[in-house]
Amino acid sequence: MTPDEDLFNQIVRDYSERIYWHVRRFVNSHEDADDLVQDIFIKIWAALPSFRGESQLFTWVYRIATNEALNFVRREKVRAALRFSSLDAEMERRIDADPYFNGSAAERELSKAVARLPEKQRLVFILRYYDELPYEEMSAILGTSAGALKASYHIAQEKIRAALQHHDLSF
Amino acid sequence: MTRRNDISTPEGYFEALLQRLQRIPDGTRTQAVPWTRRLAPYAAIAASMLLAVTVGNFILRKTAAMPEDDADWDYVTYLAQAMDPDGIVDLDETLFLSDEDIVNYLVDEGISVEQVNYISHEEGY
Repeated sequence: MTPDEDLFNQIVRDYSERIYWHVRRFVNSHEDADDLVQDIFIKIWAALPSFRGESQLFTWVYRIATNEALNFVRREKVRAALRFSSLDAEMERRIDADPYFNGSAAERELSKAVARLPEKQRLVFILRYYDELPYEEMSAILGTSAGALKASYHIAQEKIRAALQHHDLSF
Repeated sequence: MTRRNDISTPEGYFEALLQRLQRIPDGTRTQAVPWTRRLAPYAAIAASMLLAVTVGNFILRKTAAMPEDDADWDYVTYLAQAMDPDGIVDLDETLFLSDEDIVNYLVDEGISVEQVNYISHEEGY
């Protein structure tokens, strides 16, 4: 086994589950998250020779995963436009139709409210609220200052609070 | 409660995923998505918009534009004719009748020659 294969297998063992949950929040579908995780790890394998250890492995892996998730969402937006629909409507449909969603009604509304956030706020909210990453790590992944991320998270939180004002869900 | 409890995966999914992902190095490293596939949705949007503009333009030309053009042409023709000085002269000339024309008209209308002579005399013709 080559050193690259060793490193790749380590990444798979350490991060595959975490990456799955990360992208699942973006795509709101198990099947799409499964496809996306496979694509992400193919990219990681292809890009592994260019990884020079200048950033943490975790940061590097997360950055690739986040970029792929954002690209997926952008493609879905285009597909929705071609069907004269909207991405928000498509994501709400997915959340309602997801057979692996077993949360409460309030949690379903939370997922929908997150899906309605603008791209950057949604990204920050998912990284902070669901993935529970500290702002410093988020800053390293996104290349944005921690202060700007805090501001984005605060705005996202306020929007979600407003959307969930009739539900008993604190966060 | 963790924040992931609201969604789940099929039973044994992560074990299967691990095995599947660990087989990736067996494949090739050149599995990047070709640019044609990445641009396909954008090309489809551009083609749709071009088609909509072309069809819309064709329909407008075939329906709304033609009557407007005709109406404009008719109005311009009318103005040109109305403003033509020769046309006005021709029109004026038709208004001037000679004595002979008047007498012939009266005779045609059944007025006697005596009466015509009387009217001509009275009116100073």
